[in-house]
Amino acid sequence: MTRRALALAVLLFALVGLVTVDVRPPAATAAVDDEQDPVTDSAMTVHGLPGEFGDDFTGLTITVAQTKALTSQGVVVSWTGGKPSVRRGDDPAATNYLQLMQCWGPDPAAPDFRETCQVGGSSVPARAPSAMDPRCSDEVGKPCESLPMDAQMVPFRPVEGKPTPHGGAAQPWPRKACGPPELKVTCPSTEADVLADYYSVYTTNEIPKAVTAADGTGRVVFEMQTDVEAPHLGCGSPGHLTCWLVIVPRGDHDRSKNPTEQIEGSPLGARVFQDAIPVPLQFQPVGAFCSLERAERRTTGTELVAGAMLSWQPALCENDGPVFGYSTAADDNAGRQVLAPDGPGLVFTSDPVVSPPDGPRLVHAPVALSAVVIAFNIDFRVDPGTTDSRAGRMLREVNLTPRLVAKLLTQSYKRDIPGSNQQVYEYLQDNPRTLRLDPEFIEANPQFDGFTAIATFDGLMVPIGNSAIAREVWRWILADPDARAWLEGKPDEHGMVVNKEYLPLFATGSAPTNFPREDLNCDTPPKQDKYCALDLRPYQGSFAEAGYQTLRADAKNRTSWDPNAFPKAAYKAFPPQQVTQRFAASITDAATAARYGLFTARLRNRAGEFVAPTDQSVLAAAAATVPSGTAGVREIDPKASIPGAYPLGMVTYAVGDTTEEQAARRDYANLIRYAVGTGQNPGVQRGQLPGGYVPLPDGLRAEARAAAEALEKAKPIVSPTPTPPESGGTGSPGESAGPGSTPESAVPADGAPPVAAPATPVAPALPSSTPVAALTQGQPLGSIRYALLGALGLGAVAALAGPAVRRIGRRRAGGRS
Amino acid sequence: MSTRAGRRVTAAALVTAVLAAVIGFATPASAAKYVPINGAGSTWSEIAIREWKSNVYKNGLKVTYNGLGSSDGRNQFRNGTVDFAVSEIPYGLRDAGAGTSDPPPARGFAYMPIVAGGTAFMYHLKIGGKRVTNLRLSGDVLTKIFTRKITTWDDPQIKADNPGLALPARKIVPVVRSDGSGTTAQFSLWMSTQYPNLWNDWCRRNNRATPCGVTSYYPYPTDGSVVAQAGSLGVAGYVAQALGEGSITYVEYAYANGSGFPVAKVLNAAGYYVEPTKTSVAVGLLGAGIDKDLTQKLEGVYNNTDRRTYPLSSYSYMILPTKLENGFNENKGYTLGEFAKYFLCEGQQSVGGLGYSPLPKNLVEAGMTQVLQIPGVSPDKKDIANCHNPTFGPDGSNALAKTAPYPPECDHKDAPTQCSTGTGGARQETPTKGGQGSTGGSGTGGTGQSASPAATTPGAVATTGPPAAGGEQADPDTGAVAGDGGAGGGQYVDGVPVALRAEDGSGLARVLMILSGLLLVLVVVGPPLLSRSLGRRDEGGSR
Repeated sequence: MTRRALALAVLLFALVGLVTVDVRPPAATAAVDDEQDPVTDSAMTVHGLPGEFGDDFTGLTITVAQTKALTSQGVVVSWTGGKPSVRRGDDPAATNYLQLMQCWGPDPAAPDFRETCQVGGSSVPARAPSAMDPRCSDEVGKPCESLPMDAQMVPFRPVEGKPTPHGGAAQPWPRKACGPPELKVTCPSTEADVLADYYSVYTTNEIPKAVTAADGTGRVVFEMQTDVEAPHLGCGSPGHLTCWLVIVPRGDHDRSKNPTEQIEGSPLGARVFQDAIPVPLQFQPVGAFCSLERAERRTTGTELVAGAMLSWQPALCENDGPVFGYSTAADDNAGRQVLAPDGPGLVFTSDPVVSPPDGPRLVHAPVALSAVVIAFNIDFRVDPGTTDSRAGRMLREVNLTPRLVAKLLTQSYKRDIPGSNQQVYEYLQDNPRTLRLDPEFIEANPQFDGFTAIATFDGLMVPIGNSAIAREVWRWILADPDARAWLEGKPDEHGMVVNKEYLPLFATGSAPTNFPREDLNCDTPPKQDKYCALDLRPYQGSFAEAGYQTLRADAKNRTSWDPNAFPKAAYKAFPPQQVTQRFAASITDAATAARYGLFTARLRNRAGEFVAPTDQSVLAAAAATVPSGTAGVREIDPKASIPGAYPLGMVTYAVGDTTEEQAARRDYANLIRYAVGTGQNPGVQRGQLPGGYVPLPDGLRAEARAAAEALEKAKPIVSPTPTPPESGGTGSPGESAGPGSTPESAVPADGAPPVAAPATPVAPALPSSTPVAALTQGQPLGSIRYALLGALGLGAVAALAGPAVRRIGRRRAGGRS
Repeated sequence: MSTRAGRRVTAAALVTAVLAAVIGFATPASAAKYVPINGAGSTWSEIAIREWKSNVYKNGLKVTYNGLGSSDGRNQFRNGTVDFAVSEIPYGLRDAGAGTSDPPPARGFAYMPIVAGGTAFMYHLKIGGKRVTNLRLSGDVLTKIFTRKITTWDDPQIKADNPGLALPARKIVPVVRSDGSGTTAQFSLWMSTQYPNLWNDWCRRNNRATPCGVTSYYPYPTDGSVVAQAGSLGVAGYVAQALGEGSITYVEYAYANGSGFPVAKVLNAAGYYVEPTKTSVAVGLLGAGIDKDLTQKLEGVYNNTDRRTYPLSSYSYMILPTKLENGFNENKGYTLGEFAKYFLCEGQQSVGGLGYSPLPKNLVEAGMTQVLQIPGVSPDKKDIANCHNPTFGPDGSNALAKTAPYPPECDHKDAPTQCSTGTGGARQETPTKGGQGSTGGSGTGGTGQSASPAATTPGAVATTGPPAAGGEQADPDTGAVAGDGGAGGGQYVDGVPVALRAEDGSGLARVLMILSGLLLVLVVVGPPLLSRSLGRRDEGGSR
């Protein structure tokens, strides 16, 4: 297998779309080796057979976590008793691996069953029959190859329609147009061209190489495709609910049963396919979808609700229900849009939206409970030449302190700044090169004992732009005294210091609302263009993309010099990291992590515990939220010590505009009612609450229903004598800024009169373990304090900016000379 | 729920369809079903496409899109690896930067407009520590900035555009795209037609053949005076950083919106500085000429004399297949057709909020005609009357253009000062000096807060905003907006005026003054000391 094929393998593994299985690690402190993925009632365990080529697959025990009521989702496939994959050059598995595919044929014993399997589509032929297999025409006995000698591929037969030609003289492949149109030149087609009518490398769900770790175990997330994703397989279409997951184990023997160092050939080859292990899959019928003919009710807002909306949208339009559109927008932008006269009538945000005196009355309804997570994709990798039973396994558990996350977000590890600058920054010389080498990380993560020091970690992936998610991550960090002191310049116990470019950012004490890259410096390698910090650690387009790129183990860093690039030599992105060598992590939301089957880090809370985002820990976090300045909206108090609480549990609010026309208000109110009713039932079916979300507690649901009522009736809302909110009186006074402090939002925040407070006279839904009184501080002191902080901040910025500007100037001047 | 019925295909019907395709005539697509389709191309329009494709999942459509740039999209479509491409420019434009031609593909294709928007100028500039959000630039000044004829922010020509701002003597860092980009093509097309001498001179200085014309690859020197970044996220990401202060880039408006940064108002032919909002783009595009193949002729937009026009308005195209080849079959055609009908109509509802502008009726109608060229498309649906496009007025006019607000007089080039309202993703006001500030304008519901008039301080940026109607109270001591909870303002408290206010002084103010004074000393003494050590480091670090 070539490097290209490997890249393909990684890509295919990565192209797991719409995965909704929840595979968060349990909160208990179990050793890495003992952890299991959760299985369902319909889990199925299968075993291998004695292999056609002399390999013994009988010890192979494969568990498919769910085989019934399947929809478009990811399902964990794990195994034990495999022979460890053998690395050869760049190939992480030259021998001993599994190949997984989805097939639609009715009978796996039928000779043409293999033709119904979704395999191939890349530029590397994957369906070619073996010329060395005996032909059925001239051999007696089985197995034999029924295709003619000149066939180029095992045909693909779609569930409806005719099979592709096999490419031999009897069924030639059509030629394709190529070259300038006026010349009317045609070229021979490839396997991929022929399959492109049905699927391609971009859409297939096959896993061409699933590796087995040194201890004989392995784990992949397989994307189940319904009739929607793969109509040529038709799984879940009327009358066709059974399909198959086919696992073809590959050993380390050649066709003559001699040991070999490299396994070749298609899994569909007549003899190879003898070893295939079919697992029956029962699909849920694919239901009806929303009509494209009908007008949509628009919604927009935070990515935290995107996964739930994707599930709810097709359920809401059933039985002629309203069709809702949804687009993502940052919290502050969503707030602006709901206030705009032509904006959507309902938006989603984690922050309260306060209407100006002449603006529309708004209601806030809690509709989803989720979490911000740090998702990771790390293969246990050992030093070359050493053995370790854990080698090649995916790590399930990582512990992170606020200070470790602060280090990752401030370009303070040496590998997070461009090349030669690592030497230029003298004050950073004592900093570890990567997270892996940071003693603080190792103390919190003893499981990294034996993990190679040469692991390549391309930084913590984050998106650009303001968001409540980013701000809450920073508030969590800044609430930790160690992290805060470190961000303000104090070295940690091992002498690691913050990248100085970040000092001004934290001089004011307020939490940033985005993930800045304060150090934009560049490296200029000999005979190459320079590359800069944003090439080394580029932003991702969204939190969802950051999660997806974690699955791919592809941070997209453009630092690979390509002298032959078009139209001139340039840096391009490295390919994704190889399976068995992945070390990737991102800040994303729990639903995205669950969708892609990513493990998530345990974060240390103010009670000093490392806590995973589980239902219990997120509920504990929700219960500990405190009232914000806006009635009906609660927020995190990052300073509160709540045992068992995950520090970044997040409630998403639907914010409705009561000045919309009546029919719209009714539809939006029904959306809220659905969201806190049926929409809170966990599950992978349409309309259910996808993995990563935590069902809302009853108190919040009652608040939401009351808000829906107020929205539908557009009742005049009289706030039950609201306590006038503090000037900026959210969160912990003076320290981290609370919601509404997004500095560049045009949404008037807490300073405005509380006219917009929704009439949700519901008793506090959640027991608050934090005394509310702790929030109140003297009003006059408040504002002065911030002025002082502002002045101090400006001073610090000015003090640091002067020399920095000079330095940049000189550097540029130097570059010209 | 007719779609479900439509999904049911009999084998016979499909065979018939395939046979028909081979023979070469179209069949009614009643038996068609949705199948996954994929595309690649522009990052300019990627934000809108991403929303559409996730929205049609509820309708049973599976669309994938890979935003790696227009050049990549055109290449992939030509190579037959995608079902559709998205690009800002058509095939076959002579590109001096590419060195080779960009030939049209052998496969059949057509262009279809998909979303309009403004190529915006996102910038990062501060005056006295306060973010500027109301910068205005005329076309020749913009061109001179991106061709390095103007290199500092206090250049008299920029000052002439901004009478209300005390612009700093800071270097301008133009940030351009390093990769092949439709945004670059749009910007260079505008410069090459409006300011050919400046543009050709720049090309000449960067060893490009002249006349330079449109290019997807921005010419730039390697001396560091111009920063090049890959992708829309790359350029927006650079400008958004603290060290990006002084920088300016060209990028689709949605990216500035998403990054929380302002964009320059650009002077139009009617003498008004205008922000690229959905309405100003809609008005601007009323002047667009459309070639027969639906590629755009933008001279009429650049010089549209409607005073609401944003001059760098344009639209993105989808490149559609018109033949059954390269794996494109009738079911894909049916699906792509339905997807196109969705985003030309319903999908245009949300683009305004994302930072684009909905396509006007003439382009939607023309686009629908192109959709019908897709083999396998359902021919009978979506007449314009059922199209929920927000620009469609009942009388056939462009509703958006009709109701578009007119720019306030403070945006006129001859006004004594300039508007103080924020732009793009930064709606907070920038106080202006001289004349009357204004909160008027075409902002989207922003009610930025204003500082108190009492805070006017010599030597600092004068603040003559309107009365504090937004409900925010200004702090009498500092003139700063009180509280940290303000949406804006709070973070940008300007310390300089604090230090200069020597008269009244409560104890607290005095403490502030002393602290600020100390910091000022640090500012004065610090740089030489720091830079000496930094200088040593620089020397040590150079190769």
